[in-house]
Amino acid sequence: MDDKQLIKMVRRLKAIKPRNEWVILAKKQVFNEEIEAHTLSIKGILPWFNFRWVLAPIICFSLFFGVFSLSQRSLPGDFLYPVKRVGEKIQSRFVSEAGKPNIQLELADKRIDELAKIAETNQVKKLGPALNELETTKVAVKEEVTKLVKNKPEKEAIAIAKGIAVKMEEVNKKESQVLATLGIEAKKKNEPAEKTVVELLIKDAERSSLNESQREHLEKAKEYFAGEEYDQALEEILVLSYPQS
Amino acid sequence: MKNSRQVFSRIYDQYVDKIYRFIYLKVNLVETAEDLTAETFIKGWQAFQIKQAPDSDDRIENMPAFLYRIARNLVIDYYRQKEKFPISPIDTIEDPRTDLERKVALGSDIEMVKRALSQLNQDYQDVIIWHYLDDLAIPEVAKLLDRSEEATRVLLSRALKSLKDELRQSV
Repeated sequence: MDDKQLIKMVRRLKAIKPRNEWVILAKKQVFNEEIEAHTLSIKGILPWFNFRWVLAPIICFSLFFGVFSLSQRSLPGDFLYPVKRVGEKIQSRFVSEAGKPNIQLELADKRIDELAKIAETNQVKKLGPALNELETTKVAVKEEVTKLVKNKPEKEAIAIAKGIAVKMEEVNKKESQVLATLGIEAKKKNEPAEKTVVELLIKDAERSSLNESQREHLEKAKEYFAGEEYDQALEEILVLSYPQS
Repeated sequence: MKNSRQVFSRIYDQYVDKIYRFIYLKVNLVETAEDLTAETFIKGWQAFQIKQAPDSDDRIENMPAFLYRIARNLVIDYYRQKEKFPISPIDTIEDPRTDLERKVALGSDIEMVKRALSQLNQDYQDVIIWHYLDDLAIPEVAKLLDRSEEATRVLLSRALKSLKDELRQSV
C-alpha cells in the first residue's frame, strides 16, 4: 500500500459523524449551561448558597399564594372555602382588640356578599352553608363587642359603640335586603351585638341635651329596644347621634 | 450578547462534526465522544463570551485551534481519570447495537484504519486527523502542535509510516 492509497483510506474516516439528534440536543445544552455557569459564580461568592434551599421556599410560597388567591373567590361549600376562612382568621388575629368588632363586621359584610352572589347565580346547594357562615360571623361580632365593652368604664364603652354603630347598621340593612331577595326573614337573636351597642348609645343620648326632634327619635329608639327590635332601635339612635341631612 | 450567541452558534454548526470525529477517533466510544464534544463547546462558549468582549485584550485569533486545544485537553484529562479510576470491564464493552451500526456505516476497512489510528501516539493521531481529515494546512497544524512547519512535515511523514505499519500488522 503506497501513501496515496493510505491517505485515501484515512480520508474515508470523514464518514464518522455524530448523530443528528445529539447535535441538536448538545447545542441546546451548550447554551443552557450559561444558567449553570451563573449558579457556579454565585457559589463562588457564597459557598453556602444552595439553589434548593432558595427554590424550595419560593415554590412552597408560590403554591401557597396561588391556592390562597384562588380561595378568595370561593363561596361557602366550595373546596377552597376553608382556606379562605383560615386566612381571614389569621388576618383578624393581627388586629388590635379595639379593631376586632370592626373586622368581624367586615367579615359579616363579606358573608352577605357571598350570599348575594349565591342568590344571583342560583347555586341552591351553597345556600345552607352560606347562611351558616353568616350566622357564625354574626356570633363572632357579638362576642367581640361584648368582650370589648365588658369591664370597660362606661365612657370608653360608649365611644367603642359609636365607632362600630354605623358599620353595624350598614351590614344589617344589606343583610335584610339580601335575605329579602331570597325570601328569608332574618332570625331574631336573644342577645345580639346590636343590643349592647344600642343600650350604650341610648345611655349616652339620655345624658345629652336634645332638641324636640332628637328626643322623639330617642323615645322611638327606646320603644324599639324595649320591644327587642334592636335593628330599628339602632337605626333611630343613629339618626340621633349622627344627624342626617 | 445575542450577537455573540449567534456567532458561536454558527461556529458550533461549522465545527461540531470535526471536533466530534477528532475526539471519537481518540476515545473510540460514542457516548464518551459525545460527552467530551459537548463539554468542549460548553467550555468554548464560556471562554468565547469573555475573550470576545469589547474590552478583552485576549481575543480568539484562530477558532478551530482554540476548540481543538480544549478538546485535546479534555481527552488528556479523560485518560488521566481513566488511569486514576480504572473502568470495570463491563463499562468498556460497547453497546453491540452501536458497534454494529457503526460497522455497517463505515465498512470494515475504515474500521481497520480507525483501529490502527487509535494505536498511534497522540501527536501522530493529531497530525493525521488535522491534516487529512480536517484539511488543516501544515502551518495551521504546526501552530496547533507548537512546532515548526518543517518539524510538522517530518512528524506527518512518520505518522503515516507508523499507521502503515499498524495496518500491516493487523492484516
